[in-house]
Amino acid sequence: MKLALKMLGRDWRGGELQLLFACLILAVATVSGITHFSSTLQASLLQQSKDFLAGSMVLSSPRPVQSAWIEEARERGIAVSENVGMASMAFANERMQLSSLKAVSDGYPLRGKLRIADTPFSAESHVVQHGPAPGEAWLASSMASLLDIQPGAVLEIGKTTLRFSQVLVDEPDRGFAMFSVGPRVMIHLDDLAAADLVHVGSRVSYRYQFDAADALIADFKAWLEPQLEDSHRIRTLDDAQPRLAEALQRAERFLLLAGSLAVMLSGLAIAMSAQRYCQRHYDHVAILKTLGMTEGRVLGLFATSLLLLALLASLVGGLAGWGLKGLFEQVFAEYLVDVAEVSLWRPWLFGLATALVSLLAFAWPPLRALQKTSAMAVLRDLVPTDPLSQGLRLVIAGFGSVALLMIYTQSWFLSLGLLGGLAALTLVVGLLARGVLAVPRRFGGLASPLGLAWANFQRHRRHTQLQLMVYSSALMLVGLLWAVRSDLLDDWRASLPADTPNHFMVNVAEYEVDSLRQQLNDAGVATETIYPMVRGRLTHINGESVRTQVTKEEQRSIDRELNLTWNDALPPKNVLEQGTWWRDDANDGVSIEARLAERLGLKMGDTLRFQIGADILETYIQSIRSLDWQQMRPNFYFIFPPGVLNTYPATFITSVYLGPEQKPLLTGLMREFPTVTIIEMDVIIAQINSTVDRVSQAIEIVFGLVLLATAAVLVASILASQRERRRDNALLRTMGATSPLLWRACGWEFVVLGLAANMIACLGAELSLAAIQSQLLGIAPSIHWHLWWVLPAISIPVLVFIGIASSRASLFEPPVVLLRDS
Amino acid sequence: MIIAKNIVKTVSTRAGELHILQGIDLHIKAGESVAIVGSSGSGKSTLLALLAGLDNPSQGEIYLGDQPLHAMSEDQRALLRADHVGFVFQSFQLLQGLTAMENIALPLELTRADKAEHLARQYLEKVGLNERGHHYPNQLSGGEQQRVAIARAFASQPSVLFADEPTGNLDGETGQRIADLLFDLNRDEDCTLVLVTHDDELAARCDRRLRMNSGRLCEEG
Ligand SMILES: Nc1ncnc2c1ncn2[C@@H]1O[C@H](COP(=O)(O)OP(=O)(O)O)[C@@H](O)[C@H]1O
Ligand SMILES: [Mg+2]
Repeated sequence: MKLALKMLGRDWRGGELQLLFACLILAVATVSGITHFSSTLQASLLQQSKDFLAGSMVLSSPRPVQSAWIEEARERGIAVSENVGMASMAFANERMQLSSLKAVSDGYPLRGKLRIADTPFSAESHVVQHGPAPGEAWLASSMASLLDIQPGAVLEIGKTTLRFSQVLVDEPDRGFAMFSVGPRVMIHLDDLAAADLVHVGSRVSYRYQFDAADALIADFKAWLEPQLEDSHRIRTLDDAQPRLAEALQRAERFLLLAGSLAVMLSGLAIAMSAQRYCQRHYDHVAILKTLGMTEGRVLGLFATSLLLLALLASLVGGLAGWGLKGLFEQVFAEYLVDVAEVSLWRPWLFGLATALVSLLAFAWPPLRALQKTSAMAVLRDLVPTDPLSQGLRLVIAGFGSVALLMIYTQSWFLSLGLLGGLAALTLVVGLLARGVLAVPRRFGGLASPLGLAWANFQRHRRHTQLQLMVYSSALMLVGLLWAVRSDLLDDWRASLPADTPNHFMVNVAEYEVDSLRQQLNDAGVATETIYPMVRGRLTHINGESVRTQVTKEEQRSIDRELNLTWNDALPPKNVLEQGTWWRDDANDGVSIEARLAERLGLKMGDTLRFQIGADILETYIQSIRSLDWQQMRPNFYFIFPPGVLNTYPATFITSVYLGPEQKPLLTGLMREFPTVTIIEMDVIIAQINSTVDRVSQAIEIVFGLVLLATAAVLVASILASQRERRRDNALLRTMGATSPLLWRACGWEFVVLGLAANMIACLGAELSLAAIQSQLLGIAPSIHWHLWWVLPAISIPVLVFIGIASSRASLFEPPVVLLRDS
Repeated sequence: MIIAKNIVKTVSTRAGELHILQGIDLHIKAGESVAIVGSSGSGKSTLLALLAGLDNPSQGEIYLGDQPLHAMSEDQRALLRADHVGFVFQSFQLLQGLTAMENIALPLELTRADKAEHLARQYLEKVGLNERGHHYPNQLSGGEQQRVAIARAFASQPSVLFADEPTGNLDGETGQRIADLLFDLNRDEDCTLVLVTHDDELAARCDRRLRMNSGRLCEEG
């Protein structure tokens, strides 16, 4: 132990351990940092899903549920809140306005926060975790504007009078009530009774939120479910994945994947520097052996010092990983709700395991060779024969890599897939590299730097091949990562261009359509199509009742009023999959959205029966259309040809883009069209845009890690051949090569290496990208021209710089060393 | 041809200053062969390195031809070496990645690329290895490797050849034959030879013998 410490200190001063140590730290930091952050993000997303429900589970019903259920829940230690939603008139200022009223009990929201502001349409808002107190009402901006009142004013709801105290900007569980009858008014549940609004026949929805530990909720759900009636509905986290969470989860997976590249590259660098470390100790071991040290003790000595190194690296790396996690948290700060701090131990243990596995898989094999070094090496320059065959070493390295990836991703699929991909990649790139080197042996005289550089390649063929392989693989992965990142971001951004409609206008009456369009045009607001909307229910498919036709799950999605529309043109961003769009001779069917058709097992020609009010409408599927649900525009499951639905009462809907400076227009519009409901999506869109920016920042951080690992691999591969290079350069100098010649030759070496590696890398990246684009992203493959110049333009100078910097020692080698006894 | 005036070489080590050479004066005429003998660690290799311009003296003046080595930069000396100096080392110092032929051609390619191949072949023949030109160093015996090294040294047609214990790593008989080759070629090429050895028999074949004794030089018989 003492000896091991001593040796470690000596090797450190000798500069042999720094790189190995740095690589270990990098691997540990990556693993512990990213896994730590990822568990924080996971916990946070879970929490946000709960916010989205304003609880862990929601029970909704058209009537109050048995109070016994609520009592049972409370007895089980579950927090319960209650809210009631209905349409109601609000009076103030001698005006009246239909509102969607929500009366909330104390405790609401159990999860998530309400966002309120002091004045309507204010840019400043703050969050609270309680609803209005009894006697108060919180109004949506649009409601205040419609009633033309400011906070502090009074309004009447039913038989009660309330004070307008706050503007309600957002509520966690508002996702359910997107197309509501009017702007929101939120009051306390106690005031609802006083308002005396609930009578037999009024459409009221009751919601009960439950919140407790997951197990308690699951038990309660199991208890409750058998007792539910048809009209009762339970929602849990699984149903409540907000779109944002999906994007964040994708980002997290991408981070994990990119991080694994950093881990694998550090592994490679560890392998190379460990190999070098051991090679440099052959003499050392030979002498120790002549002095009588046994193989076991040699192994023990080196194993102990490497173990110490691993411990140290996991400490420093753990610290660095913690910092890394902090960095990520800063980037994602607005998405991370306060989660109970994830244990610090877990990521640190992961880090320690990373260090140990890396050393075991990559450093142990050369260590075995070291142990077997013959004492005879003292007398003669013997290269020790490796006790482990090449194949066995590969197997060990393979197992090590899988273990590393498992620690990191905790997914067999990802680990094996990644390793397989990397192995295939190495193979292909290796073959390509061999091809590049098979060009002529000579390339001008040695007196020219380029000629000398070329001769150097030929002299170290195997090593050059390895280097080329490593650089091109690393570059390819870097290029790939970058291109996928920009593809992904472009994809996200393209779905939300800057002028994407950010306000919906719903409930437009037929007689208002023309004047609304006129008003918007006058104000310089571009209008999209204004779609009519008729409420209808799908009752029969091919003559059979929907209830028997589809599973209970799917019934839920269609067993409610659907918004039916008609239009003569195919709406923008809709793509016809099957059938024909309306023609003069073919406009008697209906066009259905592709995903719904698939879910319900519907095909072209199937007949459908809708119930609209008291009427029955029979039709058949004339076309199937796919559309992008990410688009913030009115999207419809069913589109009819003009003329079929005209006889039914319809309201109209449209979406417009309003810049921040146009927002004040809303007040005027609302006064003019009091029954129109305006849904502001700009906040959500801004949130999505900022998510995209965050994700891109996070990717850049991981990208930095990958680059660091690549640099480590680069340095390790240069150092691996340095001993030989030193001798070569000393010899060239005795024979009269000047140092500028050697410098330039060295530079050229890396330029040529860089060019070849870039060529292979770009080619490989394009091919993989084509596959990824067409298979995973579903985009048409395209050539990434920028890759072809950005990658070389950045990588070659860096390569030359790092290359020359790490070869410096061998370039300065004074020729006298050749005279020293070897 | 070579003149050294009062050369001192001092290196600083962790244990303090180490005076390897302590004032050496030397005059070697063109075409002369000189042996430097002395026990191991007496400073022979250090002196050789200074005379060949591989290293700088701490004090004193060294002239190779009419060039003041002590006043030249490392790169100026490198260019001078390319044209005028050949080397033979105790441990051969062939480049492992090159064949025998390529090793011989190496110094030529640094200066006279056009004639490199022709000259290399010629010298390969002179050392009796024309069959082995495409072999790599690790496919050659020690004696054969040293022959390649000698061919490499003479191929650039230097005016001075420095050899540091050229037979030191070889057995007696092989060493004998290498020595023969060295002296034969030296005579043919009419080249100045500076040889470091502790083999008295080898030293005896030189025109002059100088003994190195803890950093000082004295003429022998
Ligand atoms: N750069 C150096 N640093 C420290 N000691 C050196 C250095 N160069 C030579 N020496 C020491 O100087 C002495 C003479 O070395 P050398 O000229 O190689 O002797 P020889 O060739 O006669 O055996 C030796 O003791 C050697 O260890
Ligand atoms: Mg010596």
